[in-house]
Amino acid sequence: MSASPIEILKQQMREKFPQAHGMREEVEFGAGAGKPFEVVTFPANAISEVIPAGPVSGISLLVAGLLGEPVESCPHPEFILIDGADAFDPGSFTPEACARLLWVRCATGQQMMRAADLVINDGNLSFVILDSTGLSAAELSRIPASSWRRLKMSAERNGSRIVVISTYQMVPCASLRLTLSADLSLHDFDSTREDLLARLKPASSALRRVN
Amino acid sequence: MYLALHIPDFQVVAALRSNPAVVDRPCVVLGIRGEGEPQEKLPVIAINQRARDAGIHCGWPLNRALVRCPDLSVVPPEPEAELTLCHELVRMAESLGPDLEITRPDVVTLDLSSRRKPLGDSLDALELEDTVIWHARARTPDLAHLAAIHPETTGAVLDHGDLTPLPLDLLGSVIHGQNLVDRLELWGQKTLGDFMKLPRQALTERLGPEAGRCHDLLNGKICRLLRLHRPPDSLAQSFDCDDGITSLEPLVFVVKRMLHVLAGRLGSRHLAARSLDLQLQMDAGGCIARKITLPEPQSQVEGMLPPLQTFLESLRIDGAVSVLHLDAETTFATAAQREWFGKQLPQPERWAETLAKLEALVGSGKVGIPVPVDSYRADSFLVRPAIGSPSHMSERQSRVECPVPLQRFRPPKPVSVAYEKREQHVWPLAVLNGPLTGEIKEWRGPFSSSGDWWQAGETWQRLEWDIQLVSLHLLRLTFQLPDQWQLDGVYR
Repeated sequence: MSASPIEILKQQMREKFPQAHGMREEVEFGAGAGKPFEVVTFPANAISEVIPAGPVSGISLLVAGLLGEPVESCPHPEFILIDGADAFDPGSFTPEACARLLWVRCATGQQMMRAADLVINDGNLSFVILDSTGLSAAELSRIPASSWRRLKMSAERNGSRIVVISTYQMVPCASLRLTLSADLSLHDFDSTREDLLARLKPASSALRRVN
Repeated sequence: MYLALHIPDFQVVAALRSNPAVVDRPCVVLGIRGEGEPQEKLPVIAINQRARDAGIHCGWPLNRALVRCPDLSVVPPEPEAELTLCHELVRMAESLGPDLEITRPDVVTLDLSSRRKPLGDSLDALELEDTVIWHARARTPDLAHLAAIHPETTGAVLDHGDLTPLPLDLLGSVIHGQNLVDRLELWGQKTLGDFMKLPRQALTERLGPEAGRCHDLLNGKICRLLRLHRPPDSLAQSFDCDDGITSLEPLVFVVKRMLHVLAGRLGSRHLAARSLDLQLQMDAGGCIARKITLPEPQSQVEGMLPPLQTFLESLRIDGAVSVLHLDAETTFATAAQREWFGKQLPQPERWAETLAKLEALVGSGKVGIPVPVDSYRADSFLVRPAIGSPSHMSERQSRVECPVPLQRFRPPKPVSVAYEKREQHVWPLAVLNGPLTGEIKEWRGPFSSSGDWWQAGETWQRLEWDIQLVSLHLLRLTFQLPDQWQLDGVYR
């Protein structure tokens, strides 16, 4: 069955003006695509947002996927975790994995944004994770949209990759938005972490490129 | 280029520190002879400006000085105060450069060639309690010395030709013995310029090689090596504030001044600071201490000041600071190329400042690398500093009990739980209040743990469940005797 003229026209327009249609290099996720989360999964010079599809979508596995399970400890941290609600549990990770992380334990959303501003402008570590999942909706609503734009501009200047983990969509200028859905249950607690990471189903939302 | 620093009327200034009541009067220091020697007609060996204004000169016998100025105050020499004053002058010189010589107790000469930055206005800011500092710069140490001890040439950058109007007796301060100066004065020589005009060859033939050496010295032909002063082994410094410091700006100023001294001492030993220890003693008692580890060894003030300044800016001090102590741990300065295959931070000096700012924002001990502790006690971990400390791993190897990382509630949230007794254990049925409530659909547990039973008063015992509510939320629920339920965290 041949495609309709409108489909052909859409295809031609997408090819001619890819930016206007939010087309990007597709990132492969899930089983068969290697590790589900790697540094290159998230675009440089930009903010990416990761949100859960349900109450137990395995969003906390994101940090585990990034840290991996190294066998040796590294001399310098490679990621910065700005923990909005001081909820990170070192006991859930191996010491070698923890050694890859610089943990900033914040108490409020405002502290989280200011800390992010400091580390992104510093530019020594380019991968910054902002975990806002433990913060209340009221706390998150107090973060103005302009703060995110400022972070984005800083990231563009320093080549940082910023990943915001949140319970709902809140970053207006995100260049990549992933929705995670794993639908975990207690039965999955007998599986290995690798199996669970392989089960994660990230879906990227089509976003217009904001330049 | 050499710089000489000089304290005019050195002995009087030192002696008056012990006799502050006579500071505003004409004063002289009397040269007391040793035991067994006649103590009559003791000479005046030093005078202050007021005594000079009254017409008194050094070397006069005391009775003549008293005739000229009846209300003259006579003070004995204070060798200990002179030593202290000399140390203060050396300390000040150390803040300007590492290579210095104590030429005389009242004169310190510095080699400025090892300075990386120009002096700028730093010479104008030199000051000591109750006195002024004269300084001069010249191509050789002796010319700088001669220029610094005369008021007409102080503060200037001089060449040998600029010294010609100075009196001849200044020459006595750079040569041994007074015979040569006395003989030249008998010849009618009055200024250094007169002496410099004499033919060197004939001068040497008539007066010996010392006269020729003096001639070369004044013409800038001799540039001797400095007898370098070895700084004290300790890098520790203290600054006692007369009036307590209550605001940030003077505090940073004092710290910066101490860092200049530290940089000078480090430079003289070819070392660099690895960490800085700053202690602030408060007027009302108590002490604030902080050790700041630098990401890369630093020997310059510009590299050491920003982390300290950030720390000081983050302080909330109720009272005044009375004493500051600064010390440093040293290491060899990084002179080698960076490691090829290891990861390095692009801007390590900026990293330390950023970490200090983060700590100031979120609190001390809340920024660092998490280290799980080898313990079954809930939420036990350490946060080690991101720089400086060795990445020592505990013996604990992978003991990750659950594949899904927990997101903790800190502190744990107490909840009410509907429960029943099963096999001598409590068994939760529903969470009645708290952040997530509802009937429990599934359980995993209980996991019993206990510890510290060997320490009286610190024994703990708990039961843990991983539960799933009807709303599908996954939680960690714990029970502690006698009847305490709490939510440790949530699995998202």
